[in-house]
Amino acid sequence: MAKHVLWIGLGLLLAGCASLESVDRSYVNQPAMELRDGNILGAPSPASGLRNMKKAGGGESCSVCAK
Amino acid sequence: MRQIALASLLLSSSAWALPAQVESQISATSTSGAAAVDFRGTSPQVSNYSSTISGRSPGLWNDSLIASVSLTTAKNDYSTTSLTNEEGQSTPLSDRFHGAETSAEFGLEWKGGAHTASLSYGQMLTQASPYPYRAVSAGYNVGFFSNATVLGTNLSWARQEQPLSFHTDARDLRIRAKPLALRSERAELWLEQVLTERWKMQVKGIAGQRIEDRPLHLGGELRNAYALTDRLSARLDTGLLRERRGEALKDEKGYFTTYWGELQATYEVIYDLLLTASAGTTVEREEVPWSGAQNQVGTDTYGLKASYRGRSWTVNLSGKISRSNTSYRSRGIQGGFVWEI
Repeated sequence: MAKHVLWIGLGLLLAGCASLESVDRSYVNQPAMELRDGNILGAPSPASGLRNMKKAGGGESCSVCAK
Repeated sequence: MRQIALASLLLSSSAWALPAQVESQISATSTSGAAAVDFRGTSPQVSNYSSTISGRSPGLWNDSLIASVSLTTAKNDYSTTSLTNEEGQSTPLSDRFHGAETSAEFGLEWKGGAHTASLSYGQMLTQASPYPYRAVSAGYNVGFFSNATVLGTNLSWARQEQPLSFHTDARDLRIRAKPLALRSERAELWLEQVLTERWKMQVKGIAGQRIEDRPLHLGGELRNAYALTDRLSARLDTGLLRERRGEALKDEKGYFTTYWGELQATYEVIYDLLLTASAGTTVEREEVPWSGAQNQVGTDTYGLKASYRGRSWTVNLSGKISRSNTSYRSRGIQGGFVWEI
């Protein structure tokens, strides 16, 4: 299973790189296509706190990550 | 002639210079219930408020460097946070602290060609806070093929103190003190790839640990964004984090596995007015080795956001609600204004 996922990922990566010359990236450069920020939900993980671990620069009080 | 060329270069660089920015964000969150599966009692609703003022410098040294600072003041209601003494008696943390907490963060971001590096530091300024912390994070990414492929890493460290409290260890029924300080570390490695003119994908590997009380956790996240039309785009995030089973447990909880899926759609109603709707589920599965119990907590979250960009400003308003299969419920609203100077 993991091997298949790896091959599919590599295939997609190569396909993306190979088609760069002809790609018009106007859509993917729109603000709504930004992937480096979390999405608007930032859904909580209230039982484990695993998703809420503090990262500096988040602009929020850290007390949420101790619970 | 040389002076004219230099002057035009300066003018053109100032015309292209990244502007300074001031941002204000206000949020309110209301939470009730508990995430524990065996939670029997009723938990009152508590409301927390926070406001953040942040500033970003204009681009310095040919726009290669940006400095930023932010100040957050939070008013948290700790009436449902219990502290347990050695005799097993619980008292709410709000009996000891019910003031506001202010924290500050400073950041630097440097860009040179295809390379971007960032460093930020944050700490609690309120000395009486029950949860004083210090946190550092560093990031680096490099782009290839005109940034169609970007490889990046984020590293973060935090140390947070917490009030003295005790818990009963279910393995030997002895009362033990919880650690007075928690250190957390997290490392992320990600690859972002433009696949077609409409499709962008990011794959991320995550490793982290809260050293004093939890095992190492490993996992990853896959994010996909697809432009359905020139006005409508969708994004799907899926991820998984799993605590390593080989490590000894140090607190009253078992081993957790968390996985999630979140879908959001953004529609550009008119030029520069974006509306986003989002829905997601987080499932947390806890395996308790000493009792053989398997507890599962699922939390559904729904959100809406509107954002409008004016000539030199942006305003946004968002809200979200969460509910789980336990008594946990949460509602939050956030508004912000960004002004480019």
